[in-house]
Amino acid sequence: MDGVQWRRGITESIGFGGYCRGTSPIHYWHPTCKLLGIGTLLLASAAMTQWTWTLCFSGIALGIARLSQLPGHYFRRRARYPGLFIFAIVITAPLSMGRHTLFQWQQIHLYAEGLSWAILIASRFGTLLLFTLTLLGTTPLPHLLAALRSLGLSPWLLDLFLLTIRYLQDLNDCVQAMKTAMRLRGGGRQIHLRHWAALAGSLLIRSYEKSERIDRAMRLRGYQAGLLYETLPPPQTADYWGAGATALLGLGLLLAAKVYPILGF
Amino acid sequence: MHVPDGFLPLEVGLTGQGLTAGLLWFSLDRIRRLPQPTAGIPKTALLTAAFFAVSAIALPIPPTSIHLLLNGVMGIILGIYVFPAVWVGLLLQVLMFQHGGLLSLGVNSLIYGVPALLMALLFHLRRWLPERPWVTVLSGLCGSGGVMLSVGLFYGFTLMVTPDYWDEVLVRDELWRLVVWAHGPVALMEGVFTILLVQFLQRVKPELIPTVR
Repeated sequence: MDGVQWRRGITESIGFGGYCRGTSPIHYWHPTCKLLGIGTLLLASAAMTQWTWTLCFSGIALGIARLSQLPGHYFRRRARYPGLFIFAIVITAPLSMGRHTLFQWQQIHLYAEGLSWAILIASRFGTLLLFTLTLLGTTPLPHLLAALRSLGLSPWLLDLFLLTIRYLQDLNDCVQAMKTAMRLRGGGRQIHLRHWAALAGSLLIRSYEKSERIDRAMRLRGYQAGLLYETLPPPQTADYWGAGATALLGLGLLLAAKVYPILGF
Repeated sequence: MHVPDGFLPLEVGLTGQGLTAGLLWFSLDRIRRLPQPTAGIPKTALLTAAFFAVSAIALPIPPTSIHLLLNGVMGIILGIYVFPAVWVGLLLQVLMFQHGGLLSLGVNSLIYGVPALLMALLFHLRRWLPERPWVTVLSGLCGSGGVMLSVGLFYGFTLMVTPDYWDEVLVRDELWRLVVWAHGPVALMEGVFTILLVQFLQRVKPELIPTVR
């Protein structure tokens, strides 16, 4: 993972990547209500055990993603890494698991059960990723953290998170500079494990010394846990309606998926 | 080695979230009882960021390269702060790079955080043991043990989603082979790396390794 990826990851997460400043209804949706609404859809779609129902949620996820006006390359770029694991499963499962053969060519069998399982996993993964990316792409990180706080997340964890992300970029730049210095001193491409340990140790020591200075400064400013995150304005009526409608949609589909087989359809 | 969203059934994901919430509550409760609880927050945040940056370094092992997990050494240095630190690190990975997922965050926290917490306890055994050679031995065990326990938990969770029509014995044997052969050398390397790192810190900044009374 190089410095450019880091920088892009951090700026996009914090909300300076341009996507969080859009003008779509999803962008204007209050973060707490958005988290509740999309969270319910996330949970309901994760509960699906049949791919036909998961595809219904995929349609809703696509609709919300389209409504958010986020560009296609944002989704494609961010789906690349997590997609690799699922891609491996989707390729191997239909060929290696199941009892009923759909197609056979020499020693290669295509199993019905494996194919159905692969479609379920792939569609569930794609749906959850679309919901997550839409939520993250339309909500600046400080607002998301404030929403999590309003839902009861510990202020200690939020402060820990904010301080970590604050110094992550500094430390990554520091690592890059130290790696370059090691190479310039004759390390070449093959660097002994002892040198890597010394590099990691130096970085930990720098971080520790910096943290002591930050701790003193924070105490002088009267720091208490929970003072670092933003507070959000109260939601409007339309925000509640949005959260209620999406939650009802998710729970309704979940109920339908559970009741449908019982009724014998 | 992150479990992505959609792979595990919802029940497993929610159980993971519940257990993670319990462990976070336990850790924060213990932290609040410390004499200066807020003093540990900047230290933990910066060390978490440092571990995050170091774990992104690819160590060249021709013809490939590997990334270290570092959960064992995190346990050694952060002690009781390690589980919240691992949770924050994993949440950052979800938000920044989509490694893992929001629903599988609980399971991933257990995979990385529980071994880190156990390694913190293991390193605490030096309280009753002579400094030489036990600090070196325990460092190595913590480094390797953290990786192997994480890998074991990862495959344990993977086996949970095995559909009924899979040949369970075959899957278990194949996965076990994969655990030992693919991750054994990485665990060994991480053990050596942890020994070297702890020795370096003991020489240069011994206060970074928590004192045992």
